[in-house]
Amino acid sequence: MLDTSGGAPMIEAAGLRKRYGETEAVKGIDLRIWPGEIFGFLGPNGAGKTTTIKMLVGLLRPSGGAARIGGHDIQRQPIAAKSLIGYVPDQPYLPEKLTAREFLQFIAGLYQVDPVAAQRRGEELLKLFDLQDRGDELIGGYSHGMRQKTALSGALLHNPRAFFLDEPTVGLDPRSARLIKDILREIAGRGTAVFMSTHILEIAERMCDRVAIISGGQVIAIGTMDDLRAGRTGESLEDIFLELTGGAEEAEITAALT
Amino acid sequence: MSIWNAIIVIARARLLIARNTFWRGKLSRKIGLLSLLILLAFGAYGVYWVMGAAVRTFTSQRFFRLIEAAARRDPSLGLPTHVTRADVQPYLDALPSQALFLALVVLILTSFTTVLTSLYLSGDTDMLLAAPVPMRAVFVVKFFGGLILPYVLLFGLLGPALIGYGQGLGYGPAFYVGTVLALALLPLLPAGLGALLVMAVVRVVPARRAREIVSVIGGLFGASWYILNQFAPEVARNVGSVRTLESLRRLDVPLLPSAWAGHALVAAGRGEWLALLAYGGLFAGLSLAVFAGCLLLAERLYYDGWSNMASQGGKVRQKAEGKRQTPQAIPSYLLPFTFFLPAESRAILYKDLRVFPRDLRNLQQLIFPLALAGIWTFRLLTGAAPAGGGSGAEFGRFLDAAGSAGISFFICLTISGALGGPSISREGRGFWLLRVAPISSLRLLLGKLVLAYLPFPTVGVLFVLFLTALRGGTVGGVLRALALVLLVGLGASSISLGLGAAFPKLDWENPKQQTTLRAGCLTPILYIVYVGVAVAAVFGPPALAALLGPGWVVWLAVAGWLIVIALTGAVVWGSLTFGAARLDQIEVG
Repeated sequence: MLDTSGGAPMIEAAGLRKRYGETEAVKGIDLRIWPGEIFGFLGPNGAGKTTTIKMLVGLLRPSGGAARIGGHDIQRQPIAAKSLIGYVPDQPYLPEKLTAREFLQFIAGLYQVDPVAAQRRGEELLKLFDLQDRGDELIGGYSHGMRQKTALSGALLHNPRAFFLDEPTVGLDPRSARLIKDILREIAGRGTAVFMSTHILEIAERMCDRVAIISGGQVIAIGTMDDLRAGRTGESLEDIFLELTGGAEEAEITAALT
Repeated sequence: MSIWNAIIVIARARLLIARNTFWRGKLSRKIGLLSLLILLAFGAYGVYWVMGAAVRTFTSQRFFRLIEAAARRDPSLGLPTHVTRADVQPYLDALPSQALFLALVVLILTSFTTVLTSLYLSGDTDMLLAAPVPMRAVFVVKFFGGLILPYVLLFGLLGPALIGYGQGLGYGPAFYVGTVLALALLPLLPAGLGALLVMAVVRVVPARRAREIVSVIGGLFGASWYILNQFAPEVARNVGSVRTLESLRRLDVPLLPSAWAGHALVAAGRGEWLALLAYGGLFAGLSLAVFAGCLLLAERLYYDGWSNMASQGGKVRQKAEGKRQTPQAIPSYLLPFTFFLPAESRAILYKDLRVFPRDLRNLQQLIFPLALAGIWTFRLLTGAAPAGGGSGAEFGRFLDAAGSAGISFFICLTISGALGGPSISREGRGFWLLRVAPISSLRLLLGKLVLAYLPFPTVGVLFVLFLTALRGGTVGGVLRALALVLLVGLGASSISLGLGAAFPKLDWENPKQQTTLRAGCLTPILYIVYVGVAVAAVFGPPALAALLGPGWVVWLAVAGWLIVIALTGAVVWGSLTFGAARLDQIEVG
């Protein structure tokens, strides 16, 4: 249930910056994502999407500005903020010598989920992601897609209020990708703020309540699809994306080459 | 693409990667690498100088006279009473064969792991094997890529030794050319055989599992070697004899490839061209034939091994027919010992307890401490117990209790160091999971500290009791030893854990890289300082009481123990907060 009318945002970036030596990867980003909102974060390669997400979940320290989850500053009140977060990275490195069931149990311990509830929910998630029969195998033997699904199960186990996904559909078969879309809608419906970066514009267009386009470490457009379409010739998100990020010129070059 | 073109393309890419890694790496890394190279250069020069000087000494008239004098003084040595260059020459001629034999043995022992890592476990294998380049080209680049370190060591240490040897004996240029060729060809035979074995094994066992198994076997071999060394005096009471020298000469039997190379080198030095051709031809022929055999078989075997590795599934743990396994959150036997821990620290501990024994490479780190425990136990079992009666015996028992505590402590310390030191590094690329979880770095370290400390209340206590039962002792002595092991063990395990957390390495490929140079250097220094002060605080007061009078004994003993408790508290707090503060600074990019 999207609620942007009042109340506090669940995810907030205020003047978020990240500098690596001489390079400024993220140049002062301001974002607000409300409970129940599915927010798409788009941008070309190297635009700063993953860096921004990693600052929001506390994996990277911002060089400036602040990231807040549920009103808690991720750097100053990390425990309170992180207890609200679920995060699935694009490359989910998981403990290879644990089975999926043991992994979920470990996550339950870390997030202090009641053991009985965690076991019940863990089994539900394993069943949902078609991992129930292989839940006693070591994760080291899993395919990329299975690891992705295990990471998703772990991230959903504690009912996060702010759910971050970095390229969630990479490596997943169409059925699993569809499943993730359904799950995202469902958890957003229950009031969780979903923040996802994706290259698949069709997913962003169909699923997201609002999208932001980042290029060169800056947000160059933000709003609903209707907001983005306003005053532009292009209809689809792809057209808008290419127009804003300079991809249209590259498309012309490609056309000339072919 | 022809095989040569492909080799050049792949090799050039690897050189570029190496160049970029160096030039674009951190300054500390550059300084470290340059320091290592300077150290190697000094080492190489040292080896060259020592070998040259030794050979010149062994061929000098002064040395002959010394041998003659020793023979006259002690005829039982079996030395000749008249020595000439002709008597010494056979031993000197055997030296290259012996050195090359040792190098060959080391290469044989390490070739499997070296080639396995290089052929199958490096990051670019999938990309190269999927590219439209001849499989043999990939094999050649990977094969020689794995041999870079052996070549550096051969040319950096054995090469200068052989050159020093040749100079000492006044050999001509043919010897030096021969040395370069012999060193270049030497690894081909062991690595070639290793590669054939690897390609065969990987068809059956997953490459990573194979490396884990080999690590354990390597660890067992190292431990056996250490044990053998410890019992060397019992096994061979007098190694510095003429008989030993004769045994060493047996390594020069021209049935071994290393002896062929050694004979060829000596022949090159003396200008005996026929012998050089015969021995050199045999050595080079065999080495090149094995390598050619590998190359021929690689086209099929290398690819088969890779595709088999890619298709291997996961192992099902404790599969029960028709029954779903529900792993226990915390085993009931652990609950009484972990009730004081916060829930998230307990989760970390139990995860580590599960993961640690499943990775054989971790177990390999425990082999040496366990071997050490075995040796010391044996030494204590076969040693004499202190005699009873009198104040001297009382002091003896006191020292014996201290000895029991010391032995138990050091056994536990080695195990604890292996468990706790690389505890954070062991998380590797999966560290992001802990970083995004709502757990403070201090609580994270608390969970890890319990695992690092575990050897002291378990193995340590058992060892103290066992040693006391074995060698006798008072109740007071046992309690003192137990308290010392448990208290100082807590401080020591905090030091290794704290420094390991402060200077972790999360992007390791090989578990040996888990301990960083800074943690590895600082940990023993802090151990020595902390243990030294603690031991002085416990054992100093009795000595001081002897000077001040018997009325001071109790007060000084209490003061000593209070100092140890306060010191341990400070060390635990300091190490964990330092480790946690540094851990908070880590960014997971």
